[in-house]
Amino acid sequence: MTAGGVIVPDDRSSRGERPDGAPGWQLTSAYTAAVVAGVILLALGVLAGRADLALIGVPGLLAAAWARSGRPGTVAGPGPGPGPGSVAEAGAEAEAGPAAEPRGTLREPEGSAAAGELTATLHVAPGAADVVHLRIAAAGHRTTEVTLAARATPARDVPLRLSSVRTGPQDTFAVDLRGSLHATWEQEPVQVGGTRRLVLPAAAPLGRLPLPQRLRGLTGPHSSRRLGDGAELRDIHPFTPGDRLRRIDWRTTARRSPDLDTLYVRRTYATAEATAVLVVDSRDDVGPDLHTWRGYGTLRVDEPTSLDLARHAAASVARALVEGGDRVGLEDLARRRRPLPPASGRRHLRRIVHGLALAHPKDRASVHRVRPPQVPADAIVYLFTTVLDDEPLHLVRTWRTKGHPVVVIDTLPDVHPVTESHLRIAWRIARLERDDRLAALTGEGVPVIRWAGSARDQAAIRFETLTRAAERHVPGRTGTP
Amino acid sequence: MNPTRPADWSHLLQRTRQRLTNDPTARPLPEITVETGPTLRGWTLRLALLLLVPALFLTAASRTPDLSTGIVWTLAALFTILLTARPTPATAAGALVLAAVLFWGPSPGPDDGGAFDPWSLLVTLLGYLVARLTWWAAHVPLRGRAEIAALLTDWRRDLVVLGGTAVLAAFAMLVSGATLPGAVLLAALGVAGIAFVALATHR
Repeated sequence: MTAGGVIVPDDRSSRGERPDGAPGWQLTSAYTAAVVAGVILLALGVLAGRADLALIGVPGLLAAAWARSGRPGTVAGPGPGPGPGSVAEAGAEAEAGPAAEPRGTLREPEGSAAAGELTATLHVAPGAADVVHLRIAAAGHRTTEVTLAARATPARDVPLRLSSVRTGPQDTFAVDLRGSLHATWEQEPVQVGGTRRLVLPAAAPLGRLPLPQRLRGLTGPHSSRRLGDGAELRDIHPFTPGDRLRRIDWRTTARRSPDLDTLYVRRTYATAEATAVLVVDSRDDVGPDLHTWRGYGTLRVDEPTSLDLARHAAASVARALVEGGDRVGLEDLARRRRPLPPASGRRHLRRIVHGLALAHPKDRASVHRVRPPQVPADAIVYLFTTVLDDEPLHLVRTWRTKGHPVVVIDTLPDVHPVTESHLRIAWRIARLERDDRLAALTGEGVPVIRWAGSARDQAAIRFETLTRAAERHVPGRTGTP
Repeated sequence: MNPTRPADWSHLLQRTRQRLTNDPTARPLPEITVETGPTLRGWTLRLALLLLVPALFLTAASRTPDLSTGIVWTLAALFTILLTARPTPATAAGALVLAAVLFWGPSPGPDDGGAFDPWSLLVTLLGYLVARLTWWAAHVPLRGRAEIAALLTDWRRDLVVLGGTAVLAAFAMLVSGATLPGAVLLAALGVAGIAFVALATHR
């Protein structure tokens, strides 16, 4: 029979599949080779009148006869139902009961995953097979081939783990599964595919962070310049209408006004919260390998890219701020719409982390922005960028002109050296231009904190240094970095 | 630029070393972690083939004194390379038939046991092992892994097959009137006994 110009067996579709969709068992060339060799050797033995010659082919014939008699059919074997989590199933239908064909089910943990923890469990129900061959592939990984024993157990779970440190949407496992029996029967491979999963950036613990000079709101973790309810003493003041009676400082009153002509109250600074906006420059995503910067080649999954570093840094800053009771917003330079407005709380932190994981470069995203992202008044801006073009410089200057303090976090990974002269020259020029931009930022008083490589471990110390420096400028307050 | 100058050579060597050590594209991709039982790498199966195939040919040819050593070694090397580089059941069957042809030689005399040479039992055992190892080598790539439990899955069948062969050999030897060495008889009876136990315990 021909289908679409392709010669296929009568009972198969044009893609070589059986009508019932189930993978079938077939005798392999091992059977044919054993029978042919055995018959040839038997004939040689007869022709030569030598029993010892004929004996050499006997084991192959016996093994072939053994395998032929053990033709795989429907066997009794449990196929445990799918467990929790997203499930991709291949092979025979689950409701059809135990079947002779091996089945595979990929169980992945529910929800999103953390960086470096892309795992799954392959549930293998071998059916009639005594050996199961697995070919496990994943993007950016070497294809792994494993042969498992299957006869002893009706079903077994095989834990799988990827070595990826990348964040954001990631492809997971693709497994080809094939069973064999008596080294003679083999099943056509079945495919088990994993789902595309969202890997959330992890947050590193940070200490104190720079905050805006002016704080807003009626309550919060910081002391503001306004008078109000708080813990930090401002002064002792004569009682005025509107002061609460519990604020009267009786000791001071007794000392200064023994006749109680004037009452004195303790006035405190009001508490307030800080507002920070995280601006992620996701217009480009570059790795340590210069060969991949123009879109050629594949980024390695065991090395973080600039966007992975930006996600990690932004998640760390967001967590530190939210845990301190401040309000955090998120802006994505590659997306013109739907920024996350500043808010506080753990639910908002999860929203920010999801937004970071979904940030990715878009077409035409590198076009120059006429207006920088709108930032609430009195908010501090944390800009996560590679500083590979002039756009961050332009944005920082605009924000500072409007009075917003800005902290730049440099997320360019440590670039691997290259041997090609044209790449080396190109990178040298790009690096010099980038160094000029960073020097200009530093000269204008904008703190730049590097997040890649070993500098990441020093980031918390750098943040603490900036915070202390700001406190020295405005005693008793957290101030502008 | 003249690459033969020492300075250029050192520069070239330095660049080559840098390429080998620092070029990220030259590094192998990370591997997927799969938790299994104890495993053997695929290259160990090829290594076993590398030893067993010459052993099969040399064992088979050792009973034929008129054979040219060069031919035997050439055939052994050829099939060793073939089976190691591209193990297929057809190649293994061809090696087995060729080993039998090498074993053919002159018919053993009455002093040697008539028309049956007990040496064929060793050739048979080696031929069966080569066929089994070839199947495994064909299914486990060099960097692949196979569980040791999977390699031993068919041990009952192998014992039964070898035991049955030993019984047949003993019968053929008795019919041909060959004198049976005691050690060979013991070994054959032992294999047959184990095969019977294996059959009795599990099919």
